[in-house]
Amino acid sequence: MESRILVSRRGLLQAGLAGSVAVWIGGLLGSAGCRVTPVATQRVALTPQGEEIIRAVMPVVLGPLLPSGGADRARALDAGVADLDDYLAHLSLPLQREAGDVFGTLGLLPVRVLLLRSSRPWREAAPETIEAFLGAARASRIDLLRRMFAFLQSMAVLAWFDQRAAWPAIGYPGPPIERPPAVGGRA
Amino acid sequence: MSTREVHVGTTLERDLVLDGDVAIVGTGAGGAISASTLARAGLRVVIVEEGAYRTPQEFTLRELPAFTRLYHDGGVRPTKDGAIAVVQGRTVGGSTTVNWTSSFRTPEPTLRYWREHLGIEGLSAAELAPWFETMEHDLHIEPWQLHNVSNQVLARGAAALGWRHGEIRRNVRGCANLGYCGLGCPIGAKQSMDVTAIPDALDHGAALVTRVRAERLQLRGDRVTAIEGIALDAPGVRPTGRRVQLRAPWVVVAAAALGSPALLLRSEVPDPHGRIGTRTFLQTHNYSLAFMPEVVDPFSGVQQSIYVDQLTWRDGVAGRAGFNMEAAGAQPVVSMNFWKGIGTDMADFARRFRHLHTLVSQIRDGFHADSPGGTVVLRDDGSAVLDYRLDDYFWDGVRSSYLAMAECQFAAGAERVHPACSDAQWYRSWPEAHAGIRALRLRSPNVFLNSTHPLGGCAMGPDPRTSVVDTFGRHHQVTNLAVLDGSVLPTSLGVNPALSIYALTARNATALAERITGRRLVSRQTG
Repeated sequence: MESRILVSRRGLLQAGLAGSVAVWIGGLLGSAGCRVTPVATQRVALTPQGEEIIRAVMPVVLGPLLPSGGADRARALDAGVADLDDYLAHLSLPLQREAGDVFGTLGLLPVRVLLLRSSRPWREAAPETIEAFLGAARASRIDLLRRMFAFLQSMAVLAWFDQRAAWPAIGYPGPPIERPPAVGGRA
Repeated sequence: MSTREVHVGTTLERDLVLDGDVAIVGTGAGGAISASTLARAGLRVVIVEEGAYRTPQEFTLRELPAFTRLYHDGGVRPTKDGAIAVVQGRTVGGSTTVNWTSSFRTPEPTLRYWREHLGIEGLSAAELAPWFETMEHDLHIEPWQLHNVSNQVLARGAAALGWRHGEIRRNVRGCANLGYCGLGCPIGAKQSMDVTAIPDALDHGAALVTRVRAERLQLRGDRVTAIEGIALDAPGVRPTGRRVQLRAPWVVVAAAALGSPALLLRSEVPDPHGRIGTRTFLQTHNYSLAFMPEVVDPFSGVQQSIYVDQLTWRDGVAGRAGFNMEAAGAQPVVSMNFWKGIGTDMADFARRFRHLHTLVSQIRDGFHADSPGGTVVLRDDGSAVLDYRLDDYFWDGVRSSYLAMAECQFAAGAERVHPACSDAQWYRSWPEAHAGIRALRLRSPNVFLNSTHPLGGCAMGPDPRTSVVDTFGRHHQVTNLAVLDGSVLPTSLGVNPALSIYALTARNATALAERITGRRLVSRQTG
């Protein structure tokens, strides 16, 4: 109903090959640049690398839709990440692994250098840099890059538009019946 | 009402064995109608379902919890190359719990094709009519006249173009016109299997075990002796370690397209001609987005109540890919996910949500040599994935339907139209759209594709060399096994499939009940 969130098997094979090479190169280059800061909150399915990328991509995809103010913005990102974690945690294990592989590949230093043209981690990448990457990936001749774009863009959309905070700006009044979150325990 | 016997796999403290006269895998359109029919014939029915049993009061009308709790793989089960998201329910009631209630009889051109090209006898419109009537009665399938703006726009466009269109009948009782069908009907108005046939079966002595995945059929010679299941944790992802066995002299597989062929493949059911899993069809959906001058509020009101079938058989049943058209309004996550924007472009689109009009085309497959459908294959862990190739025949259907949807939206007064394809652009007029779409590059994943109608994979037919089961769903090689669900359909349908599956299953489950009991039954003995 939403979109295909996943990259192709062939694409993943490519990513896997690229990934294993990149792991190796990354090892040679040293891990200082690609170490991921531990995240305080325990996630079920979203890897720390995945969370870092989602937190970097969400503001770029959603642009002015996301609150600009500090606390509201932080709340939106926190809630989005928690929702995505819950979403991923309900996927079958092969798909959870694929999602983890995509995030893992995107987090590798050589991949970041290639895609973001910077050795900085995702959390330090300039929004303009991420925007340029997303735009180029969407129109790319390379199947794998188009799939990575579709995956990341969909994740950002999923993470935002089910939040109440998203609705006033788009004129959605919310569900006609208010129910406590009996299914799944989320607000 | 006596106490209903329902076991929850997640909380089983020890392994469970259930004995019955008939064991059934699945509670969707096929499994539930089978269960109710067989239980009403006086047989002890035991049912296994991978999803959980939710009550309408548990449906929160929020998108993400619905996708994760009620759908297989969050509603985006990808085909092997990731091009198409297959949308299947995974809950008691299967996809009937989350469908949009559109109820069509199998179109006559489809039935004629089955007879003339596939040698299928006994399934003419006249022969099926009593089964359709029974199901239409039981599930309150009736005309619906309260059309939301999305559907009014579709009817207006079709009328302006002189295209054949009509009102969709719906399986509802006391519908409040909320428009949240895809998230589970919160008031139990939708006559889906979770509130109709499954409770009916339970009230006739059936036992249900939920949150258990049917892993394989145990075979001895040419017979199934048991269904082996594994209990799953609360999210339905990881095994808890408990095992469930259903033992019965008769077994019905109704795990739907992908699910049923995968179970047969895992079980190494005899398949001398390599047919299991082949000819899996999607009648793949593609979408067209428009902004209307008027407020559409696409999230509100019954989402599908008008159909257009002008182009479904445009080149004859066996010609170029034909497609039907319906409205596809939805809540924010689904609606916004059609748009692959970044930053201000995403925001500009989202802020016009109240004026958004979305059409969907469902492209028929399986009626042409160049449209063989996909093949279900097993991953290393035994899970199913559909290998579905996108070929020229298919892309012709995509382009033609983009053109038709844009033409219809402009005829209805759209300010601008954009196919749900990130390589397209906004078109301000029909001539502009016509030129733009004809030149549009069609490639995955930029063309948004999904399917809520996976069908086939255990095709029925008279010839074991080209089918898995006969036209009553009886397996060609395994004598006590029947497949009674959408996986037996030998092509896609050209319409939303629920009613076709209900009626065919009612027919075939009644035949099975007569075979088992040796008694002649009247219809499916509804009461």
